[in-house]
Amino acid sequence: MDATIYIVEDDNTLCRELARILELQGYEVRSCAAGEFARAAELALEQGADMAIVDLALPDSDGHAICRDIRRSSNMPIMMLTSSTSEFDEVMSINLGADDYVSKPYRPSVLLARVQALLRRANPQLEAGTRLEHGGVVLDIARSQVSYRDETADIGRNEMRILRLLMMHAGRIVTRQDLMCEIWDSDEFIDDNTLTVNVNRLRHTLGSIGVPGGFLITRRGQGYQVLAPRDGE
Amino acid sequence: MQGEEPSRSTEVGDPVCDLTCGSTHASASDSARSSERRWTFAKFLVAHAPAAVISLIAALAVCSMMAAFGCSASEIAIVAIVLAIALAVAVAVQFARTRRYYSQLAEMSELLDEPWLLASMVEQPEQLEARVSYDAIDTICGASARRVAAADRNMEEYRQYVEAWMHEVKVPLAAAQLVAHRIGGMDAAEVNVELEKVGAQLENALYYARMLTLDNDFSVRRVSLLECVKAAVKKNARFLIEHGATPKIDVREDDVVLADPKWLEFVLGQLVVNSAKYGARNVVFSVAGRGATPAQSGPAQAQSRRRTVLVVTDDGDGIAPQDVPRVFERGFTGANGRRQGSSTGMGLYMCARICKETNLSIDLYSEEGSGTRVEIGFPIERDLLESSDVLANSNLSNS
Repeated sequence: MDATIYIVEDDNTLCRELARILELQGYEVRSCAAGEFARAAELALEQGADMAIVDLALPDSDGHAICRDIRRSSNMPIMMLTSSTSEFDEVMSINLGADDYVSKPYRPSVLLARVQALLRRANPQLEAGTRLEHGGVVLDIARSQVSYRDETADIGRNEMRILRLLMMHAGRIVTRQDLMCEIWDSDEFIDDNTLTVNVNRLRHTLGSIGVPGGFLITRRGQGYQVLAPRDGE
Repeated sequence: MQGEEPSRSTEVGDPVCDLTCGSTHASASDSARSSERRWTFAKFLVAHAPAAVISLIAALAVCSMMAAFGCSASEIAIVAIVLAIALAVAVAVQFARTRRYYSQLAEMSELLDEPWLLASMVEQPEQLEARVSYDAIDTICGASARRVAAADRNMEEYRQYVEAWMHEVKVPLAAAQLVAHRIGGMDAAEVNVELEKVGAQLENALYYARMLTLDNDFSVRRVSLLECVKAAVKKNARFLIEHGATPKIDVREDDVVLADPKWLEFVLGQLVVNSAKYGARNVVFSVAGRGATPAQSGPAQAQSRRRTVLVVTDDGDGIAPQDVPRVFERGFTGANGRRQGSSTGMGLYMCARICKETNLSIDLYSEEGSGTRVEIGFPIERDLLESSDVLANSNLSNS
């Protein structure tokens, strides 16, 4: 069963991008239309959301108020998006029942990780967002395992993050820089050489479960890419 | 970086490296204050010497004339004594009438951190000349105080404007970064790097505006040094990666210090970006002198006996020896900055200023061609609680 996330955000681009990232990860996303912010809490519950993401700085109403309203009728996890780095907002958010807050600018991986953590805590049965699939290769993020057909293998944390990013952007080139940023987000501050080592280790693991060599390819001078047999035709 | 560092930037607060912070601490950089009292009886006498001398001459003249008129010795003696007493009383009365006012004036004008309050710290005198000076001082103080209040208000309004504007700008910036992330690929990664730079400049502008109204704006508490370092590094991840600088963090989870986390992150961010900008391959974060334990060796030892010191070492280009003593100066770019062509010279100045306001020490050592080392010293709790300045200005709480 996929989790439904309800986004309350007034900037269109931001809202769209957030939705995209979450959908890519396998979540169902609903968002609040402009002009409806005053009823945001009501709508979130109507839409059967499992979790809400609320922007603190909204034109029609106060993000804190929405948070309070949702909390009044539901126990769903709430994440606040804040722009300020002021403690007051953060403390207020927590006091009003928010479970977590993230400040702009967002790092997609951080946002996803926190969404996942909140959902898992609230509802351990929800599975969405923990598996990615492309070209027959299945990546189980929660267990840090990769499977192909009947074979399964464990992979290390760095390799897992690399494969996840590549699969999220399947069919497109992911730069070395993007990969390194992704890994740095998990507090592993690797250098360029270590990245190469990690990718090679990943390749080796994929090979060991029978994944064809053309799945993960190197784009010289640009980065890496995952392809399924049908891509690129 | 090898053993000896030929150049050392003096600690913030020394005359060579002092900051002119405007407002309340300007007096610290004034010329040396005399500690002796300006208004004493002895000085009063010396000042009124001419009048006293004339009186004495007149008294002598009177006595001589009496002698010429044929008065007896005892008669002359009586007149002399009366004259002497009269003179003494005159001097005493004159001194007493204005002593209170002038001694207060002298003392207060030296003690006050905010000199424009002088008129209200001194009792209004009665005597003519004293009153004239008092009224003049009162006028000046009133005008100054109004000016200072207006300036503070302007600064505060400006800071609020910058905060509001920054929040507005952060929205499209965040959106753009997310779009770039979604697009993926070389070009988008390049765009993301530039966007991160814009974000960094925005942060600088915001922190600069906040720093100008710093008096009440920081909250000191126990923070994890490791978390601050990681946050600062991750915030500037793209910049570091683009420049090929790799951080190595040798800070323990239980390294806890007393500091304001936002400001500390800002300072560390500045240092790390500087290192990357000037050619560092490796930036090492380590801790020396944990609490009471003495550090290994080096000039930091004396200070680290009583404080925890965070050491940021890089293997970059280093700084020219003649530039090192000036690195914390406002607007100083030096040879490096001019070469890079993109330095505002404000980064290290802000770091030094912030450290000073939050009771941290900051020292920079560098050797051209070898690298640079910055040491930030955190007071241990006992020190901090004894410092009434910080208590008055911050919220001390357990994290």
